[in-house]
Amino acid sequence: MLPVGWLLAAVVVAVLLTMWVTFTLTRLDRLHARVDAAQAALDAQLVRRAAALLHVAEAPDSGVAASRREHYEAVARAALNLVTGERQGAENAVGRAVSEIVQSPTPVRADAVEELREGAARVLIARRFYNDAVRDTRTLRARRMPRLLRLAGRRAVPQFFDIDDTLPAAAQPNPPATSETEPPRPETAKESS
Amino acid sequence: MRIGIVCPYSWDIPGGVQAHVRDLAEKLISLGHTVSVLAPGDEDMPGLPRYVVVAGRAVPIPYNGSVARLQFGVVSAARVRRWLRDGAFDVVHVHEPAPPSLSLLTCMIHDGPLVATFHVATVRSRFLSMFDTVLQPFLEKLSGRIAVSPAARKVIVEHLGADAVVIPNGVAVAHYARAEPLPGYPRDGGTIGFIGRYEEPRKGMDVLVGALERLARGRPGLRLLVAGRGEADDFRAELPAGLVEHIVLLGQVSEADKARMLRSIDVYCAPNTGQESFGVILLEAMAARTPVVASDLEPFRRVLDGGAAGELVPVGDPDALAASLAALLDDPARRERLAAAGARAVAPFDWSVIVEEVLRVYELAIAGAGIAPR
Repeated sequence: MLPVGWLLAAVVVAVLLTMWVTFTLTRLDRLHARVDAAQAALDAQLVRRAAALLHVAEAPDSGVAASRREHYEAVARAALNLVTGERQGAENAVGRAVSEIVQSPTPVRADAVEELREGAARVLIARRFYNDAVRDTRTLRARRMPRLLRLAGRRAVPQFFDIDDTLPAAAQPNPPATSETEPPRPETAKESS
Repeated sequence: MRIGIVCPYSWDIPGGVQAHVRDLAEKLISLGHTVSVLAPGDEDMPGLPRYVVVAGRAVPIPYNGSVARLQFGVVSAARVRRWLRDGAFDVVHVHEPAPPSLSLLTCMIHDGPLVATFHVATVRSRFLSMFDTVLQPFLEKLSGRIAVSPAARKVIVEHLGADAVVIPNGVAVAHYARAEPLPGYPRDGGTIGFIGRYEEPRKGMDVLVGALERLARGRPGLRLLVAGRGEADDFRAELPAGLVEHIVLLGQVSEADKARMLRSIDVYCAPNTGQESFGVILLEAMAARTPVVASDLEPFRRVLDGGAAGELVPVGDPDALAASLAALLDDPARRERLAAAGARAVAPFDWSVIVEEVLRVYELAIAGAGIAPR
């Protein structure tokens, strides 16, 4: 082939590569923005749920067992005042407290139960959306070309957020029996942030 | 909220997804939201509601035993773009985003909060996973996925490698509870109801005919009301001797007549042999306060609260079905108890409850998409 032909082929390859890189960079930008937004949304819902627990635990007429009141308050405050660190443990404790109240054998006021259920339902949705965003982002980052070309830049690999957020019993459209199965998670090459 | 909904199937053909989109849109409008539905079809289609925008003619494609109308192309893409621009939606909700469809096209074009509902738990969604790498750039724009049943969620988890929030199909409970029975009903002698395309083997009409043969012996007044499309003459010709006078074929009925039919019968029977994702029809019967006898399939068991809100019988067993139907036909008090249990079980599926769950998803999808609502 003539040198001109080679040159032309090289130009075509360069153009295609540039287009692909631009496309992938756009996707990565969009995905990281989605992860950030989904994380903010999840944080807001976790705070809302903990605040609901605190509210119900502090209300004198909510019907919550008097012996457990202090414990619930402490759990809710621990989650609300959390700076960093044991996030998942604190949120799991809130989740356990919420299901305990919702399933309580003694009558708890209906609006208190409703407030807690609403909070729990929102956490469940927000967490699924967040983990979906994380999964999509990690999948793309883990692919060979984006990894080799370091297209994700210095952005940290987003982490899955794992807590047990299933609520037992009535009017719960996501029964625990099937919530245990979760989609597979892609392994991203070790990148420190 | 400004909400755009995309229905991939033509509005003039009755179907579960279309009915779902219509009920959802009307419920949202009644709550004061601004809703526009994009669906395949022509402007001159009769009886098009004001909130529907048509995206041009659709190509019929055989799918899952019936014919769906789908579309894909340059003209459709232009229409989708214009609809999105004119609508300025806070959230766009696509249904069944499988290729090739208006829903997937919308995923490709739209930038902003995007929610998708996956309706079927069968082959079609698996088909999606074959195109995984090609479709991923578009599917990763979805900020939230909804599955109509745990089975549909399982398909999403296993075949798409994504998660979904389960929101069951809604039922307009009052529409069924208040319907006027058909003229001449309810009647004496026992009336059983069946709705669906009776020639489709998976609907289980064979099993019901078998059960009817056994039941008709001691019950001269027994009648089976059938609503749904099919070749009536062929069906009648193949019936066992003496059964023809027990069976009334209504043909395809309107939504209003479906509710009236459900209010006219003593027992609703769903003898399906498989491939049901959800079982909306059972909920509709329960909303009409009609006791239900259904095959013991996973989705039916779930809708019938494990058998507390309706009778479950072994799949494909005419003897067991006949025994269960007989027990109900002969015992009005038992029918009344089962109808009351059904009415209680259907309450969480009323659209007024379901729409709140959908709005909750919209709100979190908007928050999670990284774009502030207008």
